[in-house]
Amino acid sequence: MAVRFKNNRVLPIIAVIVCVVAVTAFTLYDASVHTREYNRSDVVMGSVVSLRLHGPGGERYADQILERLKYIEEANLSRSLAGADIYRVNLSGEEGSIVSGNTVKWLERALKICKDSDGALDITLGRLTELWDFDSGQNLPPEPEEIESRLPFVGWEKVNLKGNTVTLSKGQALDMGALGKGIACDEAADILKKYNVKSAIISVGGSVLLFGKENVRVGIRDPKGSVSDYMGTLKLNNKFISTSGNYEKNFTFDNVLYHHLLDAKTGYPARSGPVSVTVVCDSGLDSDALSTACFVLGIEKSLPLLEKYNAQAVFITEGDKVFVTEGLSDNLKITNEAYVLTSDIKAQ
Amino acid sequence: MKKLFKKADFILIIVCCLLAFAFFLPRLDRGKELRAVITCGGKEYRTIELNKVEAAYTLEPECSPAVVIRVEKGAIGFVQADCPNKLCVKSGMLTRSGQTAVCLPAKTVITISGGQKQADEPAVITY
Repeated sequence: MAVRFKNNRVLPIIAVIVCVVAVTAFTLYDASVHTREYNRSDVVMGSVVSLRLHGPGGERYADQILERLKYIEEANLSRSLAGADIYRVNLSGEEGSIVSGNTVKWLERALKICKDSDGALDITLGRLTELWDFDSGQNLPPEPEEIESRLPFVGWEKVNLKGNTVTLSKGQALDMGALGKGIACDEAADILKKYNVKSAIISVGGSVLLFGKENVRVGIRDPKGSVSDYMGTLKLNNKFISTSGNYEKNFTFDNVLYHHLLDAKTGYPARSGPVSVTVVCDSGLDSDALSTACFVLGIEKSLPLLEKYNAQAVFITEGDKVFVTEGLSDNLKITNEAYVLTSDIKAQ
Repeated sequence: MKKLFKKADFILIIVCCLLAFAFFLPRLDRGKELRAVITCGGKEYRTIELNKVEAAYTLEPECSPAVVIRVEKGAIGFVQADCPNKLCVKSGMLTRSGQTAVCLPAKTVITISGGQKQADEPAVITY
C-alpha cells in the first residue's frame, strides 16, 4: 500500500505532482485575470471620469475610452475649443456650419427630446448659460433686463439642421452641457462592446454606465450630503443612469439658491419641485437629456415623457419626498431615513 | 487485478492540490491591497499602498493651482488647494475603493482601489 521508491514508481509520481501543480496554478491565474479590476480616473469635458474595468486589457481599454472622450470634446461638443463643431456652429450662426456625422446624430436626438419635452430640454440655452456663468465662481444673479434681452435667442425650434449643415437663428448659441456626459457614456459603451470587455462601471461627472451582466449597486447622491453621501440605492445592470441636481453648480444670493438647470421659458433656474432627478434607461444621451428635462418639468409632467422614452426615474423633492416610477419602485432602497417615499405626483 | 492508482497516490494528488492552492492563493490577493493612485494632468504621479503607511505625511504634486495631499494609514485626501471652489478639499479623506477626489483646475485626481469590499456599499454614485 505504501508508495514504493522504486524507479518504476517515482517518475510517474513526480509527473503527476508537476501536472497537478501546473494545472492548479494555471486555473487560479486564469481566474484571477478575469476578475482582475482596473481603476482609473481623469478629468475630461470638465468632469471627473472614473473607469472600472474587469477582465484583461483594462488599462488599454481605459486609455482608449479617455482618448475618445477627449476627442469628442475637442472635435464635436465643446463650445469653447476652436475647431469643435459646436464652437463653429455658434460662431457662424445664421451662415451655418458643416458638422461631422456624429454631431448631426446627436443634435437630431437632442432636438427630438427638446420637442417631446416641450422645451424643458433646450439646447439653445447658450446665451443664457454664458450669462449665468456658474463656472466662474461669481455669486451674483444677472440683472432681469439682461436675462430678458437674451430670451429671444433661446428656442430649439429655430435651429435648422439640414443634412450636415447646422444653421442657427440670429444671436443663438448651442450648449450641449445637458447631454454631453450621457453622450460620453454612449461612446464608452461602444468601445467596451467592440472589445468584448467582460464588465465595467464608468462614471462621467456622475452620469453612469453599467456595462455587463452582473447587477451593480448604484447610489443616488444625497442632495443635502457631501460628495460621497448617498440617500438610497438601486440595483441595476446594463443601464445608463444620469442625475440632474440643484446641488452641483449653484450659488446662494440674498437667501435664494440659484442653480444651473435653467428654465428656457423664464431664463431663471427651474423651480418645479425636484431638487434632483435620476433617470435610468438604455441610452446615455437619453438619460442625461431626460434628467434635465424632468428636472424642469417636475414629476407630473415628466411621466408621459419618461414613458415615451422607455425610461424610469427617481425624483427627490424640496420637501425630502421621493417619487419613483413604477419600473423602479421595487428596486429603490432608501438608506437615509430623512427621505420619505411618496406616490403623490404633485409632491413638492 | 492491479489497480492503476493506489490509495496512496490519490492522497498524494490531493495533498499536492492543497499545497498548490495554499501557495498560489495568497499571490492573487495582491489586488486587494488598499491602493491610492494620484494622477496629475492625466499622468500617474504616485501610487501608495495605504495600509502600509505608518506615519502620516503630505505631498505637494507639481500641479497648478497648487494642492496639498495628506497621506495616512488607510486614508488619503486633499487638505489644501488654491482653486476657487475647493471641492477637492470638501471631499474629505478617502478610505474606500471607488472613492475619488479631484481638483478640476489642477487636474489632480486621487482614486482608491482594492481593500475589503463592504457588502452594502454602492459601487458607484450617480450625481
